[in-house]
Amino acid sequence: MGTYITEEQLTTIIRTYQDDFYRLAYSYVKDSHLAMDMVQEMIFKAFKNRKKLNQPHYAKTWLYRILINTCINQMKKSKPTLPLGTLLDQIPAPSIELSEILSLHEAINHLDAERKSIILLRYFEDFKIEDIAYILEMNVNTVKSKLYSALKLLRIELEGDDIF
Amino acid sequence: MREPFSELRHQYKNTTIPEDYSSVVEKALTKSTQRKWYNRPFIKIASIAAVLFITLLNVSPTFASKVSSIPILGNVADIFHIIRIQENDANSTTDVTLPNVSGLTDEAFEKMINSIIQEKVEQKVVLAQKNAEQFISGSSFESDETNGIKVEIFGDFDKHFVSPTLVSFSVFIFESAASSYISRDFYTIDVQTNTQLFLPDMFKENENYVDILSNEIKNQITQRKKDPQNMYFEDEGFPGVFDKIDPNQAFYLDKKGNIVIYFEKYSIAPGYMGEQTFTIPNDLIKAIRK
Repeated sequence: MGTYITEEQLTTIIRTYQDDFYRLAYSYVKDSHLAMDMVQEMIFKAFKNRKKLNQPHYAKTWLYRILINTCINQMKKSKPTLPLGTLLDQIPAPSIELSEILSLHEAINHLDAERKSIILLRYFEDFKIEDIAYILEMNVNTVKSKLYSALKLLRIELEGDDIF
Repeated sequence: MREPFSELRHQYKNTTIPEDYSSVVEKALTKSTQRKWYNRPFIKIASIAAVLFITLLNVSPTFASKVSSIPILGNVADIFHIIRIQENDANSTTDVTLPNVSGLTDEAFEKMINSIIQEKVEQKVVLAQKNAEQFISGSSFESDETNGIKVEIFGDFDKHFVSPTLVSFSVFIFESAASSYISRDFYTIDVQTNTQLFLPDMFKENENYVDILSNEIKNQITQRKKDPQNMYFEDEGFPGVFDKIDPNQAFYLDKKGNIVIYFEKYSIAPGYMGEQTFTIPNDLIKAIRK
């Protein structure tokens, strides 16, 4: 049995999680066309580097790693403003928590890329700390302390807005 | 601490996916697998299969008990019976029908050819199942997300040419994991002499059939390429450019008895082109054919 992931396996994993990839990319680049470009680039890179993945069962997290790096590079290139409007459009009706949600959303977007990634992966994508460590190429303790500090930062910002 | 995120998380999970997104993904996948056509994982796998099979035959009575033989009634020359293997496990469903040759005058040869057919099929099935297991466990990061995904392993045989003197058929195993893969073995049997024929046996001795057939195939590739949908590795500097057939290249006989040369998926063309066959007109090789 080959130790590499096969093209067929990689293809299936990509198909299975394609929507997750899009959502994640979109949360970084905030533009649907750009988000699709990011996923495409992820696919190209994944196939090109398939043999560098020495643990096939890590394929999903490995793909996230590629995608996040691609998105972060893109953001460095284009230095986008992070518009609030995109999320606002998607909220169907105002609710009591709206201001809270938007403030938190804004706060997350103002975190640095690493902390933002950790928050997204942990709370939106439900990854375990160990998997986040793999995706972001950090050790587990670094992830933990960054997560803690991110939460602290968010709370500080939220406190500033009188949410809590 | 999770509470403040729940509403935002809900929004996140409901991010609208653009309609053309999945076609964008498919395009990227097609491009990627084309470019890397030369990684042929199944080729490597095939070589390990023999060991597994031998283990299987000797050790596993359950495998043997799942095999049943059913005769096909009213068949031409009554030469084929079928054997069916059906299995179902957590990762794959297997349904394979394979031929069992009968009625030959040489029983020992008949036994041998049948065991070759079975052996090759069972090797492939065991491997496909192992592969499925690895594949499913590899993708089940969150197990409920992969629920319902199973690899289908399907096998059957095609009778290409049946006459009182010659029989030509192929047995295939089809794996549908993501992109499908089909693997085929060809058999041409001379019923009168009780021998299996290979490509060199189809020609008179000392005739340069390799070059004649190769040139014909090149001409046919040129013809096919006139349709822009068709692509062969001749284009764009691929290293798998077709040059010559193997002297023992896989082949079968079509209904008219023409020799048809076979290339498996990925071997001379990108994956999307599938298996490639080239019919060599009898007229072209009349002088050198046996």
